[in-house]
Amino acid sequence: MSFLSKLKRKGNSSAEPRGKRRDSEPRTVASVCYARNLTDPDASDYEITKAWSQVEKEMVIIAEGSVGLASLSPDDLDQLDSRENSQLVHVDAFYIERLAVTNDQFQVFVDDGGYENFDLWPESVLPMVLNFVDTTGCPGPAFWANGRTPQGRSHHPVVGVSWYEAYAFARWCGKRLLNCAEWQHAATWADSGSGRHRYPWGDSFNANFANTWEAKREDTVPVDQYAEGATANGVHQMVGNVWEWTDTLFEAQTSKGLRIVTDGPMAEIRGGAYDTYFTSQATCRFRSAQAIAARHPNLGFRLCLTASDLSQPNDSYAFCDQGE
Amino acid sequence: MSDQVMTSTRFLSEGTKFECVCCGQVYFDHTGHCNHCQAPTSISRVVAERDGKPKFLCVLGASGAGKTVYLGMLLDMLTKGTKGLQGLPNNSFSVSVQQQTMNALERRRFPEKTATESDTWKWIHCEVNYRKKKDNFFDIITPDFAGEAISEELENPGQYPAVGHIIRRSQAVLVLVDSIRVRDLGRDEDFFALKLLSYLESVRKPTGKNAAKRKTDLPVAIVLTKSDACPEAMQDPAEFARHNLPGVDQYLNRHFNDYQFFAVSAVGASVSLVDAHGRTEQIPMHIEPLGIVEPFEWIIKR
Repeated sequence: MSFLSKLKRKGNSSAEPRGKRRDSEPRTVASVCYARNLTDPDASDYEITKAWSQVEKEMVIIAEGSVGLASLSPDDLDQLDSRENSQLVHVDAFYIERLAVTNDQFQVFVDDGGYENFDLWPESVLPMVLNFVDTTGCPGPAFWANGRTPQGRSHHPVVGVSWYEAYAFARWCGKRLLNCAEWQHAATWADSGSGRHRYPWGDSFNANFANTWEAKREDTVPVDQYAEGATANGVHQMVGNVWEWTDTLFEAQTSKGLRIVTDGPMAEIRGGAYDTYFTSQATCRFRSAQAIAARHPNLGFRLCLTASDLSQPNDSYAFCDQGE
Repeated sequence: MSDQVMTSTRFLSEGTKFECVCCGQVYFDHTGHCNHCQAPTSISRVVAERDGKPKFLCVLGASGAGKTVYLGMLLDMLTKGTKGLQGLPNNSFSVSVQQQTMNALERRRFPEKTATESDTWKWIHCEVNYRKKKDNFFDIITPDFAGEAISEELENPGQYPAVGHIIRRSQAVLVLVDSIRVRDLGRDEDFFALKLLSYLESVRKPTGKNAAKRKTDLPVAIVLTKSDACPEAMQDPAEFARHNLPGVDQYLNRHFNDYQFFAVSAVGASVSLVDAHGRTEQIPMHIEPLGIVEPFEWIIKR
């Protein structure tokens, strides 16, 4: 199947993300970890075809391209929207989840023993994993209780997870975190011809399109809300609701005798959250960071797949039939 | 004829007569400030033209506790409208505090330190409406005090008369305490806040019958600032204070009727900028206010 035809298929299905199946079909390991089959050399054609059909439903492809990252040098940190000193970075094609990872998806990870499976965690943080507990001391996100998703919040983004927990979840389900260039490319690629908008919908902020402080909700909302603020290809909430962890380490930089020093390792976070006060800090280009062990109520994540790493079924007709 | 000319000339040179809204002194305005406490004449003028007594709110704290950021954020949030509160800054000084704080924070800087000289302090006057009720208006009047001036006034009362006058007139006081310094740098913050409370109590001592036995009625909100970097304070401010501000906790319990602990933060994450000489400046990476309005809301409900 050609790249363009895949792209069109994403556009057709963008109006129907995971929303409708959430109440009728409970999440299972198979339904959350379908992507494992796309990189497993032993997966059957049937499994690969089925996995692709899930990719079709839950993810969109982002074509390769270049993206200008704002400078994080000490001299440029105070620039509200600097394009002059941006650094052009090439991004390969990848698939991105339309929606941020939800509590009910993360529940499957917890129930599957994700916190006890030490293969999923970097060795250096294993002692720390014991501290990744909820309000009742059970393994799980910081604001859960008894290892369970808070009532009525199964389709809210999972929050209260450190970068390590996001990383472990990604490994478990066969995907990965986006790096900061991929994140920005996904948020802005649809308008690349006209010069990279500040928000997924354009250059002016609109409080009806994103859950930031201006929306005055003071809390997260389900991941499929604010559909008007989605990217043209149907990626929801790239701005607002929760900050998203990326796979990019925030590196201390030096310029003209000035250097940035952090208390410990920090990872880049993107997109702003329900409590982000300045609209200029909830844009597609704004780069911020958080301590990688932080487990904040406004910080979640979404995942992606490198397009070139994915297996295709040998029987391509089966794939086409499945998708029609 | 010559008498009339003389009178007019005298009147012009003396300017217009005002009663200072802060210290009550009657003065002829030449400089735009009260010559005793340095309160701006513009505030006295606005208050004199309106019905009803203004309600003063006093924000105190050590140098670096975060008074300017707190006041600037509070004003901006009230102006935008939040939790049923809608504010309207009533003078250019208020707008300046709001503007300078917001401009700095949006550009990942903290506002410049408030100068010690009292004639340079920015006085805030904000008219606030609560729950959109027609007659539910009140004023917040407070200068953005320099921490050093407060410290100096505690050591030598009368040095900065505005501090005492504002406390005398205030309906409530917010005492800002840096939670990180409390946690990491020993008892110094506790001692400073203790001195401040003792000063408050001396200025607002109960009078009349059984005064010695009665506690002070002035509502006091102890506001633990920068708690984004001190989650222990954010989790349970009262418990944090009990263990880390023992002097303050006991003094409040013994001498004040109405007090509450709060934790606030304005910053989501921060890094340090170090120059070639080793001087360090904190850089707020992004702004996400938490708990800013709550102490104010608590005071309003009193």
